[in-house]
Amino acid sequence: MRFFEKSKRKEFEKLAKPYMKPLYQAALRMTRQREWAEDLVQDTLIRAYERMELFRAGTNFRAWLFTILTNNYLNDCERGRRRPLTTSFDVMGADGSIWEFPASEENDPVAVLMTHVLEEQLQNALDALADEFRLAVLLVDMEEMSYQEAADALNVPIGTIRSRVSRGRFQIRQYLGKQSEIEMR
Amino acid sequence: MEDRCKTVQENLAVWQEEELPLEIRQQCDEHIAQCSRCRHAAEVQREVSKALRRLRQLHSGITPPPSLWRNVSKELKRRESHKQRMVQWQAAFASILAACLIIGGVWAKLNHSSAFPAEQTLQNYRQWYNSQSEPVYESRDPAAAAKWLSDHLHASVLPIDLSLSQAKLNGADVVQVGGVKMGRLLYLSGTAHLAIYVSPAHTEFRSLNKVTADGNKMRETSDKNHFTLFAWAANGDGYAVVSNAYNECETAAVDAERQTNLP
Ligand SMILES: [Zn+2]
Repeated sequence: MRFFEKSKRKEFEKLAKPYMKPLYQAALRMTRQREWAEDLVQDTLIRAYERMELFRAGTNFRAWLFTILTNNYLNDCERGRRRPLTTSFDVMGADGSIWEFPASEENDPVAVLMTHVLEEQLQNALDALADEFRLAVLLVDMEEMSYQEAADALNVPIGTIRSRVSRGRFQIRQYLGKQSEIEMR
Repeated sequence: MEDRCKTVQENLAVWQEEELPLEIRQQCDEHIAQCSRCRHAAEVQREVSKALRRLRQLHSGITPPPSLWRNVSKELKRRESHKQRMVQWQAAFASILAACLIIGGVWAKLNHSSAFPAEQTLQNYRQWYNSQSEPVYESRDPAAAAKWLSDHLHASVLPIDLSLSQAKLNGADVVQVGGVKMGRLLYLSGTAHLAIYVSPAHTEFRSLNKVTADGNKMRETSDKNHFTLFAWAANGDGYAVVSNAYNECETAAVDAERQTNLP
């Protein structure tokens, strides 16, 4: 990209800085661990800088960054370095006991937000999804990526993404339904 | 499940989105209006999606710690200067390499295997002159001497007859001059001792400073003992005539040069 040859770093910083916050929020949603999220964002921005030549001008820079973020996250999981705080929805216990909100540091603003009474269950339902459904739902419903962009980020056909998103939403609804049944008892 | 139900369920995720082709979207809309099961499924999709977007709104206040951008920026700077250093090193390395190539090229040209060692030839003559040793192959016949040299140099050496220049052949031997194997023909012309050095394939001279009557170029050089050397290249071989007497040397060189430059 000729545009970046003048001062590649400065141009990149100007372009990337506004995405710092959405990237961080997305990383938190993926990992639910602050330290891991910070590492993810840092790796993502550095990798993006190193690969700036691969970014095609005129395409969505935000989606490109999110694709790198998603890949970094999946790489971390694959290498077994870290584990997201999720379990497959299918193995959910009837009493919901294994869905305890993951312990966070006290006075953590993230934790405070996420433990918001009404949203907590939704958050738990989201976290209960298997990673393949969870990532599809996160990218489409929360990171505002198009189905095509999400398909590119996860390197699967667009039809797969559509089905994962709809199944993920169903499972969330199902989980919330069961929770309310438990509460009503 | 009804076929229509199937179509709707397959496209549930994108039912409300622009991405669905208008035709399929209309089909879904019509079916959902009639089928309560699909209506419910679509409702779930919309509700959950909406709830997730609300959750996202709640997260919008979360900001990364300022140290994060500082760290990123620091790392980017480090990488940039590292890259610049690499570029500088590469440039420096490239110039060193270029200099080496140039020096090497000049060196190779000077020491090229095809360079005729004129100075060392003069030196060799001086050594011979001091000892006046007899040639290994004694013969008065230029053709026989040429054949003998051809055998010993594994190259075709032309006979050089200097009888027109009043010089008589004494014989021939093979000498090492500046790392080059040469044939040496020794002649006598009065008090002048003449030596013709033949060096197959060593035809390059640093400079050719003399032009013969026929327009061929020669190198002339002499040392402080007044020994003179005339050297030239002809038909892929290098030749030099060296003598203690300038006039005889020049005459013999012109004579020999004509014989070696025969077409
Ligand atoms: Zn239906």
